[in-house]
Amino acid sequence: MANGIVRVGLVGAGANTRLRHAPGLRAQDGVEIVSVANRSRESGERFAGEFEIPTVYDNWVDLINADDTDAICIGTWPYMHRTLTLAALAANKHVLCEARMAMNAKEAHDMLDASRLKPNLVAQIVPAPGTLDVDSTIQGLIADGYLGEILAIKLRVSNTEGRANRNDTFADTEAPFHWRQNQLLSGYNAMSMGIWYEQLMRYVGPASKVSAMTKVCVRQRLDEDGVLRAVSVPDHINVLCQMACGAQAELSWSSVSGLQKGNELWLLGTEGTLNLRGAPNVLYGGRKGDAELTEIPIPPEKKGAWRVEEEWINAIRGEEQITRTPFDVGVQYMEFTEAVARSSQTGQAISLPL
Amino acid sequence: MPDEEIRVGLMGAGGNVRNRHIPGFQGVNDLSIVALANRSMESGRAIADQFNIPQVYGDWRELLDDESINAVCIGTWPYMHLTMTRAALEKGKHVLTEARMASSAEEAREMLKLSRAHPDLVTMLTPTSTAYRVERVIRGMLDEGYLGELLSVEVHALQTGFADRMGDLHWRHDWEMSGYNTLNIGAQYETMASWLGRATRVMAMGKTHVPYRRNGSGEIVSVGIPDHLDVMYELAAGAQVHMRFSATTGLSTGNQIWFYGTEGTIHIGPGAAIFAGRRGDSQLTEVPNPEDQRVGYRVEEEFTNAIRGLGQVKHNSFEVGVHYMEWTEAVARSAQTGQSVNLPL
Repeated sequence: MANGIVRVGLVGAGANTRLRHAPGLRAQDGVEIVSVANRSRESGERFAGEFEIPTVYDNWVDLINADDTDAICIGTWPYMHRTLTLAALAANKHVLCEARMAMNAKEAHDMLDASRLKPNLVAQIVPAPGTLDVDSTIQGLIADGYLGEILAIKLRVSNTEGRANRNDTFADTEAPFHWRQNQLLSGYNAMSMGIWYEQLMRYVGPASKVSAMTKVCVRQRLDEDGVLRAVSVPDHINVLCQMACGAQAELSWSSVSGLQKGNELWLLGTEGTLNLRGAPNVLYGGRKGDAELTEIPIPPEKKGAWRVEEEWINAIRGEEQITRTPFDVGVQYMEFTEAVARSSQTGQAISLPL
Repeated sequence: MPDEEIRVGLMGAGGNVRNRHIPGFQGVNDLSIVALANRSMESGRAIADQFNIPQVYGDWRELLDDESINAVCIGTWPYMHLTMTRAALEKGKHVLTEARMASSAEEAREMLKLSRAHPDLVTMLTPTSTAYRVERVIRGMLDEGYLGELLSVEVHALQTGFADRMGDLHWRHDWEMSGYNTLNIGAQYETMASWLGRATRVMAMGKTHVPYRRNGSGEIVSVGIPDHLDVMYELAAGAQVHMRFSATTGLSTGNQIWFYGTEGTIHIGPGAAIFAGRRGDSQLTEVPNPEDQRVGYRVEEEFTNAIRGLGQVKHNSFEVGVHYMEWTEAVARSAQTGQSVNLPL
């Protein structure tokens, strides 16, 4: 840091960097976005123009090693996260890495190890944002014993990522081959599996055993060059988990469940039941003796919001610890993600941690 | 035996026998319920008096020795079904057995083998009644290709009360009586298999949330049968099914089924209301399911028609029972081992 200014370089400038990180960083006092490297110089220059970024690099290597840079925001697809994180930490730069953390559990472990070798640097993963507004209310209810002992969990997610038309929920055979459907770019990540598992862990902790069945319903898609590509990332996933807290969870993600919209999470206990429906999130609950579920209002003071860039910069300045999301939590969801893949490949339950 | 009178003996007279089979048999022409054997002479007499059944036996073996009886209805818990079926067939009597078929797949296969060794006798299993109200509409929609290619199925068989810790022990909680049968999984699979065909691979996870219960003598006993069970399976036709069964999901949404296809979705909600929508629709809409077009209960009629040579047993043959017992055992084995189990066993 020169004169207390945090100088940030952006590697990868996709949608989330444009919508979230670049504006979020510019909103912090004493932060300068000094450089960007994207897939092409041209796209990097366009982005630099939009956000008044002085330097555009042809490749990330030069950006990460530049002496005038303190911190790197990694916004590429998962296949580059480990390489970029390790290089940035080796160059003594703080890291904010886009989610999902990595391609698989091994890469996530490598990243965690590398971050622990540099305790003077801040390493943060972009958190799953879908439930930030209700997290603290749900955590509070559970801590106060609203559910009693948690017995069962259900999560159903209707997945719309990669769709041309997000209102159509039937199997989409027309949409082009998306990077999320490309195992070479996304690894074991599939649909919003890691996002929701990260959110679920905030309430009930991690799983101890995972059984999964997955299916690729739309098996071929055209890529941007007009080549028909085989798809190996599933578009329908059923997962059963034994959770460390004792509950049994049933989690499903689907891009091929017509007219099934939104998400629903159920936490079922001995004394009460919580049901989160979204998006937008609405929380319902009921306890033993109640005739039905009723809406639980979220108090304004408990409503969390996106503060990823603020948290990162504060942590770099030593003013707070990373809670959304530290690398060790990223490792947990990447282990879950890999366990789902392994179980569906082998037909065997996989115990966690790996 | 087209012209002979059908003379039925009842072995076991529990709720379903009293509520369904006895009235059903009493509605069939040229049929008499001539004898009954229950767990005790006393309980047998009470039921015999109620339904005007002339003979009560203290032991089911005496009932089978009664040569005037040519057909039996086995209404005991699953643990006796094989033993009684074998003995009845050996005595030359037609057999209607209550569901679930048996305690295990092996017992079910043995029953099928015995029935095939007695081709002159009718063997039949009581079918599940869970789908009567929706059977005709769902069958029609599936047959007309409403779904396109079936991709996935979601089934919830959820009770809506909270866990009854230290509740009473029911015979369904007792492995000795029920074997691998758990909650109502066999009945759900029976219905699903009749619509979609059989499973080829099963993975399951189960929990016993109420691990101790009080038996009839007031003793606390441990419970081995899960009261919460998740099952995933693949269909021979390729689709993926998830079923959740639970007796401990308080304030949950109860019993529901969803079928998702490439072109359409069908949803059976609580109360057997049917909703459906096709690609291009903005939401599911209710499908008419008129009361007078629903499938009726005709178990005893089907059984006695088969005895008289007037029809074949369809709902259900022993083959169907073997299918659901193999699936039921596959669920238990997968839950025990954490490994997927391929079918047929």
